[in-house]
This record gives sequence, structure tokens and C-alpha cells, in this order.
Amino acid sequence: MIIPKIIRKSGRKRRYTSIFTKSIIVLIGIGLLPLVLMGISIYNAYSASIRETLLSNMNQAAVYVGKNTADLLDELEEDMEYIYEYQITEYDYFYELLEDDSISDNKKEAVVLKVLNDILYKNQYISHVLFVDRNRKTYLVMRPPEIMVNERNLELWYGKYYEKDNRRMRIIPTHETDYYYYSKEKDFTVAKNIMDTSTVESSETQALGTLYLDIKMEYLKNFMKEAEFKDGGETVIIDRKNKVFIYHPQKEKAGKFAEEYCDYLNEMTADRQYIKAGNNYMIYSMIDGTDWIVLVKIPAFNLENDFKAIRNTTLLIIGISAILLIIIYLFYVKAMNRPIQTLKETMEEIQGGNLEARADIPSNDEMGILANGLNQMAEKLQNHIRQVYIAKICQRDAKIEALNTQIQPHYLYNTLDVIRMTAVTNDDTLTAEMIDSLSSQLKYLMAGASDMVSLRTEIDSIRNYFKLIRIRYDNRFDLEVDVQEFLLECRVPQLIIQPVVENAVKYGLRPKEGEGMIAIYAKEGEEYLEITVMDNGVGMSKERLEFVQKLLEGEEKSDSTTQKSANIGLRNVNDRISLLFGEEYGLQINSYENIGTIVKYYLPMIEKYENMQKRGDKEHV
Amino acid sequence: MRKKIYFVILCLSLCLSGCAEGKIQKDEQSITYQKKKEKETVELSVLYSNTDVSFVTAVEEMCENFMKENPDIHLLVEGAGKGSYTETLKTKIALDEFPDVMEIQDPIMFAQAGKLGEIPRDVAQLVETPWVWEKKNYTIPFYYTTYGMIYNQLVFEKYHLSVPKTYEDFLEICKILKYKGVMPLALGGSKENVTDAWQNYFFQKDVISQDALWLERLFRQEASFEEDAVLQMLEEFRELMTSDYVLENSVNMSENQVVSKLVSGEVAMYYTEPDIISRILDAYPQTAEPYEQEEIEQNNSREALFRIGWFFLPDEEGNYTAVEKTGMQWAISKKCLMDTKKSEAVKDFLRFCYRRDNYRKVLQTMYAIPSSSEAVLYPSVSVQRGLLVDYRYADKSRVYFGNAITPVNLKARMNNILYSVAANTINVDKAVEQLEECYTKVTEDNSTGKGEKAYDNSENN
Repeated sequence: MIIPKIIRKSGRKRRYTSIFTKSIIVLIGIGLLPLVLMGISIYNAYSASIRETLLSNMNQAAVYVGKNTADLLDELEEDMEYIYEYQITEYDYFYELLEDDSISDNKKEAVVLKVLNDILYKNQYISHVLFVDRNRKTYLVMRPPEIMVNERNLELWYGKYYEKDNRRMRIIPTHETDYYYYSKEKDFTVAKNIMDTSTVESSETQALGTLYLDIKMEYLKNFMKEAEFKDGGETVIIDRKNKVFIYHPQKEKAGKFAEEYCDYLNEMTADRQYIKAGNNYMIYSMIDGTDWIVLVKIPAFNLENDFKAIRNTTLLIIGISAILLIIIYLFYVKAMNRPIQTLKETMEEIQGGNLEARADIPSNDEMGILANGLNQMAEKLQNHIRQVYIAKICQRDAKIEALNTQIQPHYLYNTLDVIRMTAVTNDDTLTAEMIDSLSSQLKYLMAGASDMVSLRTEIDSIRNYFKLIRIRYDNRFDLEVDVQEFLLECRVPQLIIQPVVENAVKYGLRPKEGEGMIAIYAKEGEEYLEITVMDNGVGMSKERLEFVQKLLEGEEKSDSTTQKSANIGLRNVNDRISLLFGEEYGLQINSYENIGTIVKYYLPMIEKYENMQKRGDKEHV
Repeated sequence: MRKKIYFVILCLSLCLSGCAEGKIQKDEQSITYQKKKEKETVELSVLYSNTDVSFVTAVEEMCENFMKENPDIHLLVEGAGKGSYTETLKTKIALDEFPDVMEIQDPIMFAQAGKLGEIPRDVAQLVETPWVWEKKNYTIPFYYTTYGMIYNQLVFEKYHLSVPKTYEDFLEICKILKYKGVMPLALGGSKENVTDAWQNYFFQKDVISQDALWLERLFRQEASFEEDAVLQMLEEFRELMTSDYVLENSVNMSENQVVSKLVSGEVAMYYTEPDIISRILDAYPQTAEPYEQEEIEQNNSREALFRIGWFFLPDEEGNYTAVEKTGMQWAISKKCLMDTKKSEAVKDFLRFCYRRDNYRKVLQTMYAIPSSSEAVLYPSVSVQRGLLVDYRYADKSRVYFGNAITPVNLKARMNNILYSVAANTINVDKAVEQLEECYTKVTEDNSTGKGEKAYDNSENN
């Protein structure tokens, strides 16, 4: 049996992508990718934030250093201004002292030096105090131990930095104090012109001289204690205008050109706190009121080192999570996919024609429901096909067989009629009756293609048949029919009882010597229409009965030619009933030797108003 | 469907990475802090002499209130340190820190040096008589003070004395008081000003009444201390100061010592400036109002010893001239007036200072006489009210030693010499000699243009 494949509608060309593939894509798209992306972005944000915090801290430290330096410079300025307030014993003001021509130079020098000394000791950071007056006479004090002054160099130096009209404090960047012999000191200097405050005009225009305070560059280190960083960080102070180091941890570099930084100085603006240059971070802070800048250089590597551990941990966690996720997901998807596959395969099998195929999915979810549905569907389809199709085919076969034996009815009926008339003419009413019965039977047999007839019609046909039989067998046999009136209207398949009656006559009554009877009962059972055909013939032997029963159940194949026609009949009837109505309907046969045979029909109750098919018109000839 | 999924995935990943990026940027910006304050503020530097404690509080309060009212103007207020205020101002020039608006003493030399700017018309109108020199207005007086006699009304009442009408009356009163066992007068104060009040009284009475332009002549070097009028002044001065009407050695006493002697009733009168009233009230608060005293007497059952009174000392003819002494004057630097923003700010500041509600407070604290063109009344004790009334109807003179045209540094040296006179260590002839000497020196110094040194005798002993 070939069941045509269900042709797919348009879309035949669609590429097949399994659910498994789709699930994987979803896993990657919605599970893995966001996880990884989020992980990376959170990591980035976190590490950036750590970096920013570190840099901010360093900036604060730089600011601190800058502030301290600015404070120191303010202090130094105040120290220098002190000279105006200084109360010398005989004089009220410094200018008086300097202008006094009445005292000797030596005395004057002594007093001036006393003043300068007081200034020197006002601040622990001042290294030397130098005052150069109008006439270029120098007055110098320093802390012990005293060292020799190189007068020539000293002159050159302060001459270089002399500014006539500047009353404000000036800062001279770090330089070697080569105006002292054997001095390796590096100092920066603050300088201020001291004005003659005797009159208002002179206060503005006349300078008594210039005061210079030298400060050891190394003292700036004291401010850096708070700003000390781990290895790799370098803190310096640079004069932005002159591009030299004011302070450098390596003494030799102080005062020298700040080569490695000068490229970046322009980019260090007040609105930012650090710049990244190459592999280094340069965190800076301007010092208020000066051109100086505090710079902390730290290699990027050092900064990143700090949170390498965190980064690695984070990456590890992300990695493991991702892998775990993939594994679990794969397992789950596979488990999910199995029933789908099963379903798919079963479907294909059924499509291929194997209606026995069933999907075995025991799960209690939608897949189970689908599988159940598929199974039931296949089952029903199978039954339906069997019922309808095969029954139809069986019936068609039976009809064909019937038709095979059909001879041209008209000729037959006319001929029979002629014979009947001959019999009538010859006063052979018996023969005429027989021929009449036969004629009726033949009409019944060959009337239309109705499957179902009423029980009445079927029994009438049997009565006609029996007329013949009675006549043939000298009224030895009798037919008894006991069917209630309302049951006669039930629908039964055509020629369903006749073959059994024929068998009963041929194999039950005929061999018996003496009289015999065939009884037909019908009763309404619980679920069935029970029709019983009994005979009190010779019955069947046990073996024979078994054989026949097995035949009915379809287990035995009949091979004996002698039993062929009978078997066909019984088999045919049983098969027809099963096919039309189902396995639960059919025949049952029982027999006792020398007692009789009972054949019971189990048919569905089909009332007249159901299944109104075309009734074969018996009268039609 | 497939495309939709891709699109959604793409969006999600972009969003997430975008979030991460954005966060970094925001952090970077948020850490940056502002180093500079708002650049919109105008800064004004203010300088004043902070020798008088009450004045210091008054000025500081005024400046704070001004800044609150004008948040876009920032005042850098500084009080001059010890020593001569003028010298401090010169030092400020030397440091290139000349203030924008300041108290000024010895304005002529600063004006001559071109450091002071002309007071703008609308500000000058705030005062009745701005100070003019060579037809230009360089300063405005903040308040005036004067010289007059503080006296113990209770003592006067006790001995049925009344306010003297002439100088002779006054001497009579002194005699009576002395007879009754009350010391009539005391001197007191720092060396710079102990003889201030009396010297100016005699100066007015004997010199200026006859020759109003004497001081001007002195300034132009056309006068001399050897003139008769001056000799008379010095004679009378010496006579009174060394008489036994004056508490012995009171020339060396501090003001506080004199005040305590006044309130105890030991001394009856004290010739000085009105701001002594605040010190008297500090020492003896009950001396304020007559009616209060009666109450206190009743409550404490202690006899009141002192009640403040004031009168202006008249001359022989019974006339008296009240000295209009500049208590404190404001000046503005030329540089400040050249900057439009600062110029506006400084005008706002000065207007604020003279505004009634602020000005009142200063006047009250200093017991000062208003110099503003607007009449200002301020609540004060009855003695001050009386003083103000008398002052208003008196003849006023702006000629006194130590005014603007007194040659610079002369006054300080003069005070030194007059102190010696009052202490009876030198006689009048010697005094005249010395005065001439120092006058010569001072004019010499002034004319040569150098050595305009402020003579600071605060430390000299």
C-alpha cells in the first residue's frame, strides 16, 4: 500500500536549520556575548576607575608638594620684607643705615651683616643671604661652616640677574653655587630689590640694593615625603619658562635643562591633572604664583601592575563562567533536542508509509504531548485507512467477484422467466416456485451496489433461498426466524448471513439423515446486534472447529481446495464485518459433533435513520 | 526573524560597551577640581592704621558687611603694623603693594609724588568739606574729632560750680577745686599726644586768633617760632602745665590711669578728644545718664562719684573755637582709579562707608563727629549729644598742629619738645630754640626731597 507523500507547499527551497543550531546561536547571541561584553566593559570601567583613583591620589600628593613650596616662597618673601621693619639700634630704618656717611665702612658693614644674619636665621631653609648695594658692594652671610667666596663669579652671577625696575620678588632657578669655592651645592634663589623709603618718590624709584636668598634645592625634598611613591615614580619640580629642573632627586640634574619633559610641558594645562606620554603617566600640579610645576612621572606599567591580580581574577571568573555556561547549555540543549529528533524521525517514517511507527517520548512536557498527539494521529490514520480503504477494497473485490459471476441479467431473467412459464404451462407449480425464488435471489444478489441493507431484506433473501432448498431436499429442512419487529429495520451488510446459512445447509444438514432445522435469532445486546444462526446438523469435529476458528482469526491459511469455497465464505463474512466495523465486531463459530453448529454475529446497532444510503430496490428488475 | 536577532544582539553589545566607555570619561572629568576662584570678582586692597582697637572692629565689620552685600567685590583688608603709618605706606610702595583705598596721614607728600588719585565728584559729594590741595581734591574725611574738656558734673554740682564762660572763669574754677581738695586737671596719654589738646588750645587762642594763616606761612617757610604770639602761647602753655592745678607727673600717665582718676573723683577735668567717653564708660558704666545714676544710687546705696560732662573751653573774651580735627581720612590710589572696574568698586565701597546705617556704627564706636554732607543722627549718651549740639553752633577752625599743611615730621618733633616743657625739664627759651632747630631741619629735609622720614618717637625714650 502506497500512501502518497504529503507534498510540501511553497518553501521547498528553505534551508534546513535544526533547532539545535538555533539554540547555539541564541546561546552565543543572548547568553555568551552579552556576558563577555559586560564582563569586559565592567572590567574596563573598574580598572579605569582604579587607575583614576590612583592618579587622583598622586595628583593630590603633587598638589601638596606644590602648596608647601608655594608656602615656602611666601615665607621667604616675608623674610625679605622684614628688612623694612627691622629696628636697628641707632637707626629707625635700613636706608638710614646705608645712607649714613658718618660711620666707617667697617662699622656699617658689621651692622648690615647683623641685619642679614637675623634674616638668615629667620628661616631654616635659607642657606645664604646676600645684599648688593647701589655701589655694588656685597654683604654676605652664610651658615657655618664658612666657605670661601669666589668674588669674581659672585659678581658675574648677580650681575646677570640684576633687574633695575622690578620691585617684586624674583625667583632664579636652581643653579650651581659656583661663586663659592669647592661648593657642589645646588641652590635656587629668591631676589628682591630693597627700595629707599625715605621719601615717597624714592620708595618707588630708588633702590638701595638687591637682596638675594639662596635655598638648597635638596630642602625641597622635605616636602616630598608625603609624595613618595613606589619604585618607578619620579617626582621633580620644573621651571616651565626656563625649562630647567628646580628640583630633581638626582642632584646632578638639578638646574639642568629638563630634556625629557620639555616636549610635554606645553600640554600640561591647568584643567587636567595628568597626561599620558608614551609609557608613562605624568601627574602634575602648578605652583601658585610661580612658573614652577610639580611633576610625578610613573611608568604606566607600575600603575597597571597594581591591579593585575584583580584583572586576572576577573578574567578567570569570566572565562570559567563562560565555559560552564557553554557546557551546561550544550547538555541541556542536547537533552531538549532528543525528543525533537525522535519526533522528527517518527514523522518521517510515517511519511514514508510506515504507519506502525510511534514516537516514544516519555517526558511530561510539551514534547510528550506532541508525541502523544502524533501517535494517536498515526493510530487513527491507520485505523481509518484500514477501515475505509481496505474495507472498500475488500468490498470492491467482493463486488468484482460478484460481478465476475454476474451474467447478463436481462438474458438470465428472461430465460428464467421462460422456464418458469414452461413450468407453469406444464402445471409444474413447484418448479415454477423454485424458479421464482431463484429469480428473486438473483435479483437480490445483483441489485445495485448497496453495502448495507435492512435485516428484513437480508432475511427475505434467505427465505427465498430456503424455498429452493426445501424443494430440493424434499422438505426435510426447515427455517425458523425469530426476530423482533424493530430489529428488522437494523442495517446489516448485504449477504452477511446467506453464506453461513448455505454452509449450514451444505455441511450441517445435508450429511444428516433425517430432518433438520436452521434457526435465525436476532437480539439486541449491550453493545451489539447479536444474530444467531443455528443448525442441528452434524456439527464439526473438534479439529475442524479449531481449524475454522483459527482461519477466522486469520492465523491459518486455507490450503485445501475442498474447503475453499466454504472458507472463503466464512472468511469473507468475518473480514467484511471486521473491516467495516472494527475488530471488535465479527463472527463466532461453535460446533458440537452430531448436535449442531452455532454461528453468532456481533454487529453494531445501526438504526434506520443513521447512514441513509441508497437502498437497493428489490423490486427493480 | 534571523535579521531581527542579529540586530538586537548588535544593539545590546553596543549599549553595553557604550556604557562602559561613558563611565570612564565621566570619571575623568569629575575628579578635576577648580583651582581658580571665579574670575569675575574685583579685588580691592584696603589699608588703615589699626592702632585704635574700637576703630579696628568698626572697620572690619564694615568691610565684611560690604563684601556680603557685594559678592563680586573682594576686599583685602590690612591694618598697618606698629610704627609710623606713613612709613608703612612708603614701605608698601617699596614692595609695589600700594593699596587701592586707604586711610592716609600726611597726604601732601603722597599727592606730590603722584600716588593719589583725585576723588571722583560723586564720592566727594558724600562729605561736606573734602580736602583740597592745589585745587585738587585728594582725600575725604571720614569723621572729625575735636578738643574739649571732660569734667565731673557731680563735683561741679557739689561745689556749685558752673561751666566757665571765659578763661579766667576757668582758672577760678581750678582754684576753687584745688582749695576743696579736688585736683582740677590731669594730663595723660602716650608721648605723641599727651600735649596735643592743650597745645592746640593755646595755639588757637594766642596765635591763630590773631593770625589765621600762621600755619600756612609756616608751611611756606615764612613763619618762625620766635614770633611773639608763639612765645606767648608757649608761656601760657608752660604756666598751666607746670602749675599745681595739674596732677603731678600726670604727663607720664597713660590715658587709662587718668580715666580711673576721673571716675574716682580725684581729678575733676581732662582736656582731650571725645573718644575718651567710650573708655570712661567702660570704666564706669553708671556715669552715662543722670537719671540712671539716681536709680543706681538707690539700689547700691553707694554714692556716685562721677558723671560725665563736656564743655568747650573759651578764651578770655568768652569765645570758643572748636577744632575740626580730621579723625581719619580716605584716599584712593591713582592706579586704582585708572582701572574702570576697580574705580567703580572703590566708589561703591566709599558710598557704603558713608551710608547712614554703616556710618552710624562707626560714629557711635568712635564717638566721632560726622563729616558727611547728609545729616546723621545717632543714638548716644547725653554728653555726646550735648557735645554735638555745641559743636554744631560753634565756630570751627581747621588750623591745628598736625593738620595736612603742618610740615611733615614737624609735629612729632614738636610733641617731643612740648612734652619736655610740660614735664618742666626745659624752659620756654630752650623750647623755642629747639623748635626752631627742628623746624629748620625738617624744612631742609623736605626741600631737598629726601629724608622725608617719618619721625617715629614711639620707641625713643
